[in-house]
Amino acid sequence: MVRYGIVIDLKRCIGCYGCLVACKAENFTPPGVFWARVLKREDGKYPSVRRLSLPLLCMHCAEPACVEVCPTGASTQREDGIVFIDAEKCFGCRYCMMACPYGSRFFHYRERPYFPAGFTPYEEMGRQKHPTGVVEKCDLCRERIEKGLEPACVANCMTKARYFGDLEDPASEVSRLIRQRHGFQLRPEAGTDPSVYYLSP
Amino acid sequence: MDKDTQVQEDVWIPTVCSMCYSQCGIRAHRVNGKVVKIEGNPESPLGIGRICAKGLAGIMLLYDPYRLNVPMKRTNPEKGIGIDPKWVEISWEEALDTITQKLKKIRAEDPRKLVFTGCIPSMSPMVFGLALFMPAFGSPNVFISNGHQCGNAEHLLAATLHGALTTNPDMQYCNYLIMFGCHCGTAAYYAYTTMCQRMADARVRGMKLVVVDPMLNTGAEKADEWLPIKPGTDGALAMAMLHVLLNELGIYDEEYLKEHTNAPYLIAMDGYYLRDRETDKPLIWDPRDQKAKTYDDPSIKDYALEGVYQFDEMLGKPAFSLLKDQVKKFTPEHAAEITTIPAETIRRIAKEFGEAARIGSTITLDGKELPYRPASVVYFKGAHGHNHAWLTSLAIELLCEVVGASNVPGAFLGCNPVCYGYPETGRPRWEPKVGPDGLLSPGLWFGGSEPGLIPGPYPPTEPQPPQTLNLMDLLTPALTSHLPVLTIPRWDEFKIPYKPEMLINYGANSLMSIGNPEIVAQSFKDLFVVSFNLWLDETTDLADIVLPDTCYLERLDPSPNMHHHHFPVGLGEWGWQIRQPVVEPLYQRRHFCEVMLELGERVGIRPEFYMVVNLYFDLKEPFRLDPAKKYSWEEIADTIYKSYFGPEHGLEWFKKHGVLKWPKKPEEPYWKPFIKARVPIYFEWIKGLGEKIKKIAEEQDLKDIDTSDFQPLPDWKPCSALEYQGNEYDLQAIYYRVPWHTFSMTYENPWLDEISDNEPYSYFISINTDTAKKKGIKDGDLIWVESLDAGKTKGRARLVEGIHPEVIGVANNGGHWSPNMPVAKGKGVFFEALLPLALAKTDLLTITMDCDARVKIYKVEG
Amino acid sequence: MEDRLIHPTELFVDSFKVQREWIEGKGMLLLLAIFFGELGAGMFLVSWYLNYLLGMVFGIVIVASLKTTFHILFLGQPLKFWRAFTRPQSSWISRGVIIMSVFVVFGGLYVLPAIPGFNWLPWTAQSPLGNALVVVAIVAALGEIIYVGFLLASLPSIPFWNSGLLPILFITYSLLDGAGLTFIIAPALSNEAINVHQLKRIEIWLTLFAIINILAYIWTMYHTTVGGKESVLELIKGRIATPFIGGVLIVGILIPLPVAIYAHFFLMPYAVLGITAFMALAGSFLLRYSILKAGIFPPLYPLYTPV
Repeated sequence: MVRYGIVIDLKRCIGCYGCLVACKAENFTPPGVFWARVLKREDGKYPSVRRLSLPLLCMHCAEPACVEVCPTGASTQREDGIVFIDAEKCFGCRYCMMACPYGSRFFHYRERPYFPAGFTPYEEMGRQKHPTGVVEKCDLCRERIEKGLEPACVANCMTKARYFGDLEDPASEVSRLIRQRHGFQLRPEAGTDPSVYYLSP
Repeated sequence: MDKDTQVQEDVWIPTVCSMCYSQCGIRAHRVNGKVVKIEGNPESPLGIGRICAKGLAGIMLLYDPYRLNVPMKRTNPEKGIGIDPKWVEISWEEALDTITQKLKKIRAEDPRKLVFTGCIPSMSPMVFGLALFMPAFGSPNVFISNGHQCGNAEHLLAATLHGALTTNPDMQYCNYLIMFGCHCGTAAYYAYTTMCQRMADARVRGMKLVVVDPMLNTGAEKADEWLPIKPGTDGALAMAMLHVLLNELGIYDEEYLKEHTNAPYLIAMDGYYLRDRETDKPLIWDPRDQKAKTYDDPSIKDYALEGVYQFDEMLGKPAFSLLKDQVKKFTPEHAAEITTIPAETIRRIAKEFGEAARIGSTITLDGKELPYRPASVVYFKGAHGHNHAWLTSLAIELLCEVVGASNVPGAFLGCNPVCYGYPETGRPRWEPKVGPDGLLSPGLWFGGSEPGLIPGPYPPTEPQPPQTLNLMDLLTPALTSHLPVLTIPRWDEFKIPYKPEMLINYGANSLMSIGNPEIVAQSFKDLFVVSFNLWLDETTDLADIVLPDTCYLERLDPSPNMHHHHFPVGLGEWGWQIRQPVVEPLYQRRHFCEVMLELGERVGIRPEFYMVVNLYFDLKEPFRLDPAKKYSWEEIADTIYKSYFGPEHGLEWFKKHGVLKWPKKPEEPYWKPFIKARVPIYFEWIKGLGEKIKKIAEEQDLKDIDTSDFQPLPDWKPCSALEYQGNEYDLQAIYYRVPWHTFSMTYENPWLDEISDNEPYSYFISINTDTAKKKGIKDGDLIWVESLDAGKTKGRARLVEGIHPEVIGVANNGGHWSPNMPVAKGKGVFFEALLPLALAKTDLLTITMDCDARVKIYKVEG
Repeated sequence: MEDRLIHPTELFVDSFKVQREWIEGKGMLLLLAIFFGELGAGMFLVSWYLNYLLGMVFGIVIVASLKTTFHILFLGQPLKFWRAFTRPQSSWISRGVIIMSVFVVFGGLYVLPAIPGFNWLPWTAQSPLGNALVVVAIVAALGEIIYVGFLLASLPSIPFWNSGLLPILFITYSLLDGAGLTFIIAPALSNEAINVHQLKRIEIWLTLFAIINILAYIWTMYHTTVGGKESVLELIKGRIATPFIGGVLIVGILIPLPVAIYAHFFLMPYAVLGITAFMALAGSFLLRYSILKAGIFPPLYPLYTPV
């Protein structure tokens, strides 16, 4: 059985936000909604300081807390591990947003154009994809995967910091990287077993 | 897209990005006439299918509802910052008529009264304006906006040491990289996207990255070691490292210095070469034959690098020994006081760098054995954006030269100084040559084909009393100049024999992107300003006519990459690209190049114009433009392509395929062993030039022309911010680049604006936590930053640990105030307001702005 | 790269840190729904214990009207509310709506014959069927006051909620609310005799139990996880200190409790007791507010330090 996963190499990542925009452009996400995002922090005390950029997306957990708590069955998991939301079923209770330890889910309150003057022709093309009053999140670019493409954030990553593949296949590049470079998951104590692994900076 | 929508059209169009100056290959997805996605073009060596946030966000530039869509003229005669021009829509016909009359009058009186400026991201049309239209019209008065962002000091050294316009480290093989005040491979730099991939590869491979930067931002974030340095002191660090290498450790590449540089040239006591009486060639000392010989004497058995030698009653010392003496006073202890970097760190870094260079080692690539020097530096505005830019840059460059890490695998490379052309046609082709005194002369420097219109800085051009507003006929080593903003209103003081009358502005927002906006506005307000614009930005407040420009997704550019310097260095592929319209220009927008062609026709400069195009692109028969015929922009593009790549590779071919590629040969990027031109470690000609310029300045009674930096050897001197002795202005303000913004234009892009909004630093003023606490400033406080020599700017404080305690850091070009750019308005911090514009705040040798402002900060009251 | 260790001990600097969806803006509707649900069920239970039929009716009405209305209004797509019934096997929201429905239906049927106009119904509060109905209703009411605690406690994402003590705290407060509201409305709405002393005694004991609950909860949270500690700091000296210390502790406990104890031994005007009962209710409301507001996602950033 396939289990799709992503490995993010923090040694390669430069925190350029390319993934955020690649995702946005691919998925027409509205203002304030980020299926892919980047967090920044600094630690230490001058002059011994480090800064870290942490790219995030939905972790497509093997034990998705969001799916478990969903009262409508809108959040579901496919056999290949992709967690997605059926907007038809979602009624916007946001319980999944409380359950997700990674803040990967966004509630689309109301439609809002990027420019005060109104929707651009580009936005018009994608408006139907984002109904309001429901929760939305990364679906690992299901449509691209079905066409044999990598998710947009992976395909575009300028520093090739993202790898996409099958975590169940020990011979896949993602499995190899996790093994060889001690890939780790975020917040393992939450018990969700994320399918997104990170390599140390 | 909605599944129900009928898909009538679904195409991917290869073209070229223009969201910054890197010009990466992209492909745009068009569905039913609308652009729905931009991706990297996997076929292009520029980006190889991966592009940055800016490039991806181009859709939001194309469809920005606040773009300028129609030509307009001002009706309010009063001009100034923030004064409403009271725009009235006019037809293109009326606009072009007005402009033609003005141009005809100027051309009849003195064409030099016309000034042109352009913005860097739209590289290709900008070059069209300044290198094709302006020479054809007969005016040398061009300048590039973003003055403080430009790398003039680096361009000069790239030309003289690398035979190129720009430089980049060879990250494919480098093992040890020191980055001085630059974000190569991380936030911005030439061939940005490809270099980011290579930097990531190199870091995973184990390359050590040392970043010298007052601020821990995108570059230092990826560093193995961050050296927080006091701004303006990079030169002192480099001098101390040279001292450690040359005088303490004795690590230098003797063979390289003897064979490939002017290190053995004998320098007389007056600082000039000791020359052979007969041939006038510089002399070296052959220690085996115990006699002086000309540098190219085939009988040379060895070169002396040290000692004092006599020739014809004259004493001479090898240049190398002068360099050793020159760096002696910069002990690591002395440099530590200047730079705030501990002496032991300086010693260690110098040693690591010297050892990493593996002097004497070789590598075999493609069957050719080449010297292997896997250590490099890379430096940009952080290091050289100060007074004494020349001296600092030279010191940094010489770190590579003394260990032979120059234009060989793993080393510091010129950006593609050698190209042997597309294999089937051998064109375009350029390579450096041996110039006077055996020294390197670039084959192709700024643009165009060899023999280009714009000569490199070596052999040097004789300085003249100023006739041009950019003073580049006096200060000849510079590539570009921001000085017209000073000379336009004071043309008579500079003894310029005409009064400038008209400015053609191609998209530059000069008010926001050079320095003190009051001074820029002062220089523009008496000119008749025609401005090609995407928006009614801050600078258009001073325009008389604004014309709606196309953005890069709406236009054709046959040479988007300016031949060489946008390409990644090192091995890989050459690729000639096309920028083609993805959608037809919306509204009444027109492509600048097409409008300029039409203006050329109307003004009657077609023969001159075609001659310049033929020269610039080195068009060969049967592909030379014939002044008897009128060509459209598409026909000119077609001609250029065919002239370079053969009749089968015309415009149609490029429109379909997007990019024509061929592999690089090792002798192109790694030309050093193959081209027998020496490079100077001792810039004798600079010294000579300085004396000539000084004489002219005295004769012409020009003020503030200080030539004391025209030194042949590197040095460090405090820049103006460091010369300040008081206590009140206790901080230095510096700017930095972020990967998702280019100058001022991207602030209007809502996707990129949203990134900054969600990112902790770029819309804030970064201050060291301890420094802020001492001043009672809390995170998020609104503060004023007041410059000692210019204006003040406002922004919110962000308390960080990753910044030198005596420095505040600001992302460049924020703080738009135009109501016509509502996304950008009020976002970020207007750093440029802090920069004084004055000759005294300029490194005159390279015309580099001092971008390091002495400031004080305090809370905004109320 | 192997020379760095991952320490999950940092606090993250990021706008997504605090949960907002369930407390800010429309999120306040959820707080109201939770509050009224627990208040209603608590009142039903207390009134049943006191054998106070009107209080039971009142409790059911609060749940059936206020709680459901606020809940439905809170939803992004209110018209799809019926979908909430579909996943009781895993979702506490589904379980909650089913429990609530059972409570409203069975409790309603139980009290219905006592309401004028419905005495033709073939059962009474004392009949076997009536007894059966009330047993189901009581179990459902208990479920109603427990499930919200479990709903929050089952989330590993927010450590401050992820505690077995939370359902107990919620139960205590529900009963306290029920007792308080019963005390307020009983004399005002009806002549039915209720044992005020008994009611006050219940209140005092519940309040004392609540204090122990709160202290135990706060102490545990402070000492077990980084995220929990951060939430506690917010409660005692951060953004939520005013509602928590001022509202929950002072207005909700420290003022009403001594008054109630005093009143237990000495005569006290009813109005004063009414006011303090209101204060206790306000404190209870603010307790829910504070707990929701203190929901913080702990840091994702693995902090690295050189070894």
